[in-house]
Amino acid sequence: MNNSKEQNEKVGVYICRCGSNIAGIIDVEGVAKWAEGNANVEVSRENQFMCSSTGQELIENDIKEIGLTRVVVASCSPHMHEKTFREATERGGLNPYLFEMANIREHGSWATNDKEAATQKAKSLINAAVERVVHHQPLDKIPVDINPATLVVGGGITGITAALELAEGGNKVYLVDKEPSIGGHMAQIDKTFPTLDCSACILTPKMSDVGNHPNIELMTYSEVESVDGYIGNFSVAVTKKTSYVNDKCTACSDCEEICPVSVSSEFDVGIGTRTAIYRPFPQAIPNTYTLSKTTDDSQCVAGCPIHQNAHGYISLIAQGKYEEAVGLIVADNPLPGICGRACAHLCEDVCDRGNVDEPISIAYLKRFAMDKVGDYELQRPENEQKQRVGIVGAGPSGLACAYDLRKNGYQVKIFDALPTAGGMLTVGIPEYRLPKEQLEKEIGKIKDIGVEFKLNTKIGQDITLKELEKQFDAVYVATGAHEERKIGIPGENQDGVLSGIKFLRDVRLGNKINLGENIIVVGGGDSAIDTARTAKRLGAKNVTIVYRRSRKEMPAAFYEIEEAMYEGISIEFLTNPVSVNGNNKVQEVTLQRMKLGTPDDSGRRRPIPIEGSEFDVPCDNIIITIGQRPDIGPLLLKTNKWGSVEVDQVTLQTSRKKVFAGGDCVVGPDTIVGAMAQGKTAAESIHRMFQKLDMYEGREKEGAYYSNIKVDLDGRVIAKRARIPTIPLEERDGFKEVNLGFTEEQAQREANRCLHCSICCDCHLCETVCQPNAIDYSMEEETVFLSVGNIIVATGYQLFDSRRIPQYGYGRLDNVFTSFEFERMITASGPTEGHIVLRDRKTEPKRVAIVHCVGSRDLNYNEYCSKVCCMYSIKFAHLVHEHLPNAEVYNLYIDMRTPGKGYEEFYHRLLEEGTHFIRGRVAEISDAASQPEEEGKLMVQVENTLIGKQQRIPVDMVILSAGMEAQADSAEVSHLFKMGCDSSGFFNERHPKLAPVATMTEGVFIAGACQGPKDIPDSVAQGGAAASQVASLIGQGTVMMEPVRASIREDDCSGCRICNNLCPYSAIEFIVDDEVSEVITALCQGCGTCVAACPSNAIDGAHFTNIQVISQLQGMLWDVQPEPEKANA
Amino acid sequence: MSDHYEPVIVGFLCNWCSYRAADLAGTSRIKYAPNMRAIRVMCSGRVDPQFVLTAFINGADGVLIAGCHPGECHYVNGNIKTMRRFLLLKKTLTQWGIEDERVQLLWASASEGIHLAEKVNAMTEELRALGPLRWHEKVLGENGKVPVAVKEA
Amino acid sequence: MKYGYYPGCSMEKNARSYHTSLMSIAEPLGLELNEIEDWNCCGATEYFSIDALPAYALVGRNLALASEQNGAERLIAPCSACFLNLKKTDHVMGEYPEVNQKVNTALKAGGLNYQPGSVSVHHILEIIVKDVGLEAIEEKVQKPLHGLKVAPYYGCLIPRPADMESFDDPEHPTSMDGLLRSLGATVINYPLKAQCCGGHLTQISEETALELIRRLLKNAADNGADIISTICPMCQLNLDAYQDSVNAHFKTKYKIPIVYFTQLIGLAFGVPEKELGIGKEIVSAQPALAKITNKAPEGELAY
Repeated sequence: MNNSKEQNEKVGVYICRCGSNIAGIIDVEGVAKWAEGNANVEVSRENQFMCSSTGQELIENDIKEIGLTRVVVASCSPHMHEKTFREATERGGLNPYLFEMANIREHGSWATNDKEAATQKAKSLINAAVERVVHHQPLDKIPVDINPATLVVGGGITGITAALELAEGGNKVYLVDKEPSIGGHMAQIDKTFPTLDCSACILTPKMSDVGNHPNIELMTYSEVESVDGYIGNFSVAVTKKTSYVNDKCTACSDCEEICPVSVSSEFDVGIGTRTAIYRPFPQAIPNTYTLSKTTDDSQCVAGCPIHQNAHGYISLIAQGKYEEAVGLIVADNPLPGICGRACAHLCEDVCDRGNVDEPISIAYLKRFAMDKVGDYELQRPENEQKQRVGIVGAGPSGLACAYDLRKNGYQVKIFDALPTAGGMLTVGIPEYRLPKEQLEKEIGKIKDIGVEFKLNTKIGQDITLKELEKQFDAVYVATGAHEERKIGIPGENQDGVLSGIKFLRDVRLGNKINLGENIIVVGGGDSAIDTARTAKRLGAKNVTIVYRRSRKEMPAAFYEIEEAMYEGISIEFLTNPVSVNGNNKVQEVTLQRMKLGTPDDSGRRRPIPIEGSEFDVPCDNIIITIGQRPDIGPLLLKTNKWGSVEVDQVTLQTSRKKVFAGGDCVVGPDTIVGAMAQGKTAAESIHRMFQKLDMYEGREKEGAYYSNIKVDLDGRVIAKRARIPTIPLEERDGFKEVNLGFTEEQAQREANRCLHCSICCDCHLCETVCQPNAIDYSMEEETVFLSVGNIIVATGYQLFDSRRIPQYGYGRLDNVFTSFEFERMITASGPTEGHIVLRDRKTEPKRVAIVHCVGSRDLNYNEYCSKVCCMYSIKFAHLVHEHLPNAEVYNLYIDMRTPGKGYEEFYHRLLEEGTHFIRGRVAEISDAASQPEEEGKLMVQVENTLIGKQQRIPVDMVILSAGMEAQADSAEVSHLFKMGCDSSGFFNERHPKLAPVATMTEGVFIAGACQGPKDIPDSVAQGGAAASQVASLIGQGTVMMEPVRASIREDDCSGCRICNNLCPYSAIEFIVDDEVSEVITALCQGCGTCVAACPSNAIDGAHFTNIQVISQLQGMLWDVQPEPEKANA
Repeated sequence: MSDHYEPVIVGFLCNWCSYRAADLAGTSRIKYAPNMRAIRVMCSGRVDPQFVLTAFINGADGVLIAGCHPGECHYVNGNIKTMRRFLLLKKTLTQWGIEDERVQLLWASASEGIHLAEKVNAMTEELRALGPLRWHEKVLGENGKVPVAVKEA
Repeated sequence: MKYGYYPGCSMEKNARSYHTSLMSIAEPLGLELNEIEDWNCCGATEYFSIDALPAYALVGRNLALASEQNGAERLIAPCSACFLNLKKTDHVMGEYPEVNQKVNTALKAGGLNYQPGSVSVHHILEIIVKDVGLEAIEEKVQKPLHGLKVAPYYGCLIPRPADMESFDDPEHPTSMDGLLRSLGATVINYPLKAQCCGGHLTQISEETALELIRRLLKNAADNGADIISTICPMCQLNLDAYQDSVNAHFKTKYKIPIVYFTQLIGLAFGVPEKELGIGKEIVSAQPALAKITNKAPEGELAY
C-alpha cells in the first residue's frame, strides 16, 4: 500500500460493520487498523451502522474537528447509500464529491464465506478508494428545469390512476393507449376479488373522468414511436393510427349494425365477435367508433387482376345481403356469372385461408350470388360523353374495356370476326362448364347499357384499322390468341393430330369432327382438361392426358383434374411425346418419361428426359393443347418476335397513338381475368387520353399485386371447403353443365370461413348509413410530437397463452376455456349475457374444473408465481356456485396463495360454499373416455398430493387460470424508454425495495403489472406512487443532475474529430474556426466513451478522470504490485 | 496471503447493468470466487485500453470488462464501441504473447447476478490454470521500464 | 442424403414389412441407408431395468460401430425402442463422465471406442418429415390416399426421449399428421395418439396391457379411423396381434388394421402392395384400403 504521501490530503476512512452483515465475514477492526497505514489516511474508524445518524455525525465532526479534506466510507453499494454519505460530507463542510465509497458488503462479505479472502478484498477496495479520493475534485450539480407536462403510456387502471392524480394537481397529462379505448384488462373483468364489487362499475367513472378532464389529453389508438432527451425535457413522437372515423361520430352504432364483417373480438377474447367498424365495449372512452382496416387490400382482392372486391361480396353473402353483394360484383365486373363459373380464380391461390386448411371457394360464391339474385343491372353512365371508341374483339378483354368506357359515358362499338360475341368464352370453353344461355344473358346486359356489337367482321379483311381510326376517337385491339402452337416433333403433321383450340371451337360451333376411340391429349393446362373431357363426351373410349411435369406443377385447376380423373380420364405425369408414328394417319405415339430438375423462370421445376425410357402407345387421335399464339393478321401494328403486338407496358398504347392493344394478342394466352384486366387498363388509358390527364401517374396497383397483410392463423378451427355439387356420372354424356352451384346453406357456411384478412371489406355500406358523415376512408395516420418532463410507463401485462401447454387441450378441446374467456362469459354485458355455458352456447356445465398455475410456477414456462390466479380462481368458483347452484366445482391448485387484506377469509368462505379443493398439478386434460361414465366428458388427470392418489375427474368445463406475462413487445418498449427488463420481460425498477417505481433512467417511471404480476390494488397504489414522484419533481421545478460530464481541454485538442461521431447524443461539435471540438454540456450524459477514445488525452470525464481511475486501479492492486510499480504508484 | 497462487481479476463494471448485477449477486447471497475487484465506470465505453494495460502492469492476472447487453446500453450504444475496442486490444495483447483468457468481455444486465458470478468463477479457474501473468518477464523483459503513458497518468 | 441404418432385431422378423416398405420408398425419397455392419441388439427395455451398465455397453457398441463406419454420422433407427436406447445412451454417456468411462472400458475389450456426440441418432419419421420434407413427398405421390381415414399413432417413446430435446411435441405430436395429409389421406385427430401401447406388459401383466390396447383402439375407432398408422414394431405388434384378445376379453368387435406409415407412403407412391408387405398384418388392411377413391371426398384438404 501507499506509504509515501505526495498529495497533502487528509483522508478519513470509515468502515461499516452493518451489524454482522459485514463484520460477520470481514475482520473490520483489523482492516480499520491496517488502513491507518496509508500515508494519505488521517483517521480510520469502524462503526456499527455508518448510515445511522451517529455514523453520519462521525464524518461531520471529523471534518470539522480534524479538518479532513477527503472521505471514504467502506460499507454497502453506492447505489444504496452514496447519496447519504455525500450529504453527510456536505454537512461537514466539504464538497460532496470529495467522497468515495468502497463496496465491501454486496461485493465483499455477502459474496463469499472465505473470511480471509473477503478481508483481503476489503483492504484492496478501501485502499483503491483512498488512492482515488485524493484525486477527486469539487464538483457542482447541474440544474435542469422540469417541464410540468407528463406522458403516461398505457390506459389501464394504473395509467388512469396516475393520469388523474397528476391532472388533479393541475398538471398537463398526455395519456397514450394503443387500443381504441382506455380501461385495459380491468374493463374485461366481471367482479373483483375478494369484495366482489363489479369491476366496470368502479372503473368506468374513472374512465369518464379521464375523458372529461381538461388537463388530460387522451390519445387512444396511438403508439409511442420514439423518445429523445432526458429528465425535465423529453421529446416524444406518438403515432396516431388511422381510425377512418373523425370526431363527428356520435356513437349511434348505425355503422356497426350494417357492417357485414365479423372477426374475433379482442375485448371478448375469442368467445365474442366484433364488426370491422366497432367500439370495443359500450362504456368505451373515448366513446367513438374505429374502423380497423389494413393499408393493403385483402389477399383475394390484391391477387385478382381486376381487383374484384371478393372480400366484400363474401362478407355480404355471409350476411345474406345478396343484392348488395351483386351490386359490389357488377361494379368491377361485366361478366359476373361467367367468371363465377370459368374464372381461373387466382384469388383462391393467395387466399390466406389456404394456410389454415383450404382457400375459400371464392369464384363459386360469386356464381351463387349471381344465380341467387338472378336479374341484375350493370352500371349506367351518369352523363354521356361525345367521344367514340371502337373495340376489335368481343372477348373478355374487349367486353371489360367496353364496360369501363361506357360507365364513363363514352360511345362504344365492338367488332368481332366470329358469328357470336364472347371470343374464347364462346369457342374456347366447353358448354358443360359455361352454358350458352349464361353467355347470351351477360352479353345482353352489356348491350343493355348501350354498347353496340358488329359480328362476322374480321379486322383487316372486312374493315381496316385505318378506317376504324377514322371513325373513332380511340381504338382498342383485343383479337386474342386463337392459333395452336406446335410441339415440334416428327410426324406432327399427319391426319389425326388435332389442335386443341380448333377442336374445342369446332365442337362449340357445331362443326363436324371425326374422332377415334383412343385419344391422347398433350398438355397440362385447363384446355388440356377441357379437350379431354369434351373428347370423352363425344364418345371416345380411352382418353389419356400426357403431361411432362408432376401433378404438383400442373397448371390446370386442381378441381378440374379431380373431375377429369373421376370421369375416367387417365393422366400420365412426367411424360412427353417424342414422335407421332403412322403413315399419314396416326397409329401410335412414342412417349418418354421425364424427371424434374431445377426450377425454371416460371418457378416450376424443369422437366428433363430420362434416356431410354421411351415407350409406344397406340392411338387414333392426338390433340395438342400446349398453348396458343396470337394471329394478328395485317393489322399494321408493330409486333415482337413472338408475333404479339408491341405496346407500352403501362398504358397499352401501340405504335399508333390512337390505338391501344391488350389481352391475349399482346401477352399471349392468359386467363379470362388477365384479359379483362388489360381491357380495364386500356379503358383507363383511353379515358385519361380523352380527359388529357397524366397517362402514367399512380397506376402501380393496376393488375394483381402481392398484399403484405399478415393474419394470425394460430388456433383457427379447421373448416371444410364446400365442394360444388355436380351432376352424376351417368348424366355426363352430353354437354349439360356439370357444376350445379352452391345451395344457400353451403354458400353461407363457405362465406363464413373468410378470415377477413384486411378486416374492413371495403363495401362502404357504413358510409351510406352514417348521418353525421363521420366515416372518412381518406384519413391517414399522423405523428405528433410531445414535449414532456417525465414519463410514466404503465403498459400492463398479457395473459399466458394456454396453447403452449398442449396437454391441457386449449384450442383443441372445445370446452376448455381461459380465465379471460370466463370473465367475459360471466359478465352480464358479455357475449353470453352472463350465462355460464359450454362452447355450444346452450348447455350449462354440471361439473367445472378450475386449473390453477397455468404457465406459472412451472420451469417449462414461467418460473414465477403470477400472484393473482389463486384469488381469481377462487372468485370463479364462487361465481359458478352463484350462477349454477347445483354445479360441482373443482379447484386444482399447487399451493393456495392468498396473502392480502380479506383474501384468506374469502378462501375460507369458499371452503364453506363446498368447492372441492384438490392439491396437485394437473397432468392432462383429455376427451378420451376409457369407461362408459367418462363418455362426452373432459377427463382431468391429477395426482391428489394430499392423499397420494391419482385421480381422473370427469367434468363438462375446464377453466385454465393462466398466469400474467410481460407484454410481447416489452423488450422493444424498454429500449424505447432506456429501461432494462428482467429475463421474464418485466421492466426493472431502480431498487427492489426502496425505488419500486423509479427506473435506471431519471424521469422515467414504471407502474403496475409491467413491472411484475400484480393485482388491482397494488397496481393502483403504484400508479399513485409514480404520479406523486413525478408531482414532487414538478414541484421542485428544477432538479440537480449528477455533474458527471465530459469537457475538452482546448489546448490539448488536436481537432481530429474522432470523438464527434462517437457521441450517441451528438453533444460534441467541431468549432471550425478554432479547429477544436467542444462538448455541449446540456446534451452530454457522461458515459465517457469520448474520454476513452481521445488519442491526445484532451477530454476529461468529470469524476471519472484517467488519473482517478488509474490511482484507484493501482491502489486496488497494492498486494500484488511488482516492485517497480510500487515506486511508481 | 498464503503462498499458493490466487489469480487477481480487475473488473470494470458499468454503473447501470453489470455493477448492479454484482450488487444483486451479493444481495441474493450468491457465493462466488472473491478474486474479482470491481471498478465502477458509468459505461463500459469508458474503459480505456490503457486501464487494462495498467492493470496488468500493476500485477493483475486478468481483466473482466462488463457492460449492458447490446441494444440495452444506457447510453444507446456505448457497449458496441467497447466491443470494437476490446477486439483490437485482444489482437495487440496476443501479439505480446498474452493469453486470450486474460481479458474477457461480458454482457450482464442488472438482473443477471448469477450470470456475472458464474463468469467470475469460470474466469478465475481459467486463470488459475494459466498461472500468474508476470507482465514484466513476458512483455518488458527482466529490466523492463514502465511504458511512458502510464507514468504520465 | 447418406445415413447409417440400424434395423434392430424386430425388423428381421415380425416387422419385416416395416423393413421392406422402408427399403422400397428409400430410393424415391432419396435416402441412402447404410446398414451398420455387425450390429447387435439395442437392449430393448429389459436390460435397462435389470442392470443399466451392461445395457449401455450393449448399445454403446452399436454407436461405436456407427461412428467408425463412414456415412453413418447420422444414424437412423426405425424402431422406437432402438431409437430411444441409442439416443439415451449417447446422451447419458455425454452427461455422465463415469458412465462414459465405464462403457468405453467395456468397448475397449472389443477394440472399440465411442465419443458421445459423434453420432446423432434419429427416428426414421423425423428424417422423412424434416430432411426429405412434405413438399418433396407430395411430388412423388402417384395414387393419393383420398378417402382413407388414418389415425396416426406415435406411441409413447418417440416424442419423449427422457430429458433430451424431441423433434416433436412430447404431449401432442403432429409430425406424422402432416405427412399423412400430404399423401392425400384424411387424418384422424385423437387424444391418445401418444399414449402407451402396453409395451412388454403383454408378457408380464396381460390384464393391464389389454386395457391399454383397448383404450387406444376405442379412441381411434370413436374418432372414425379406418386404419391406424404406426411407427414402431412393438406398437404394431400389440395393437394388431392382441386385437382379438381385446375383443374376446372386453366383448368388443374391433377390426382396425394396423400398418406402418412407411407402407402408406409406399401405397401413395404407387409401390405394389406385395412389395410393401401389405397382407402380412393379422387384421387385414384390405377392407380399409378398398375405401381409397380417386376423388378427394367432400371437403377434404385438397391443397
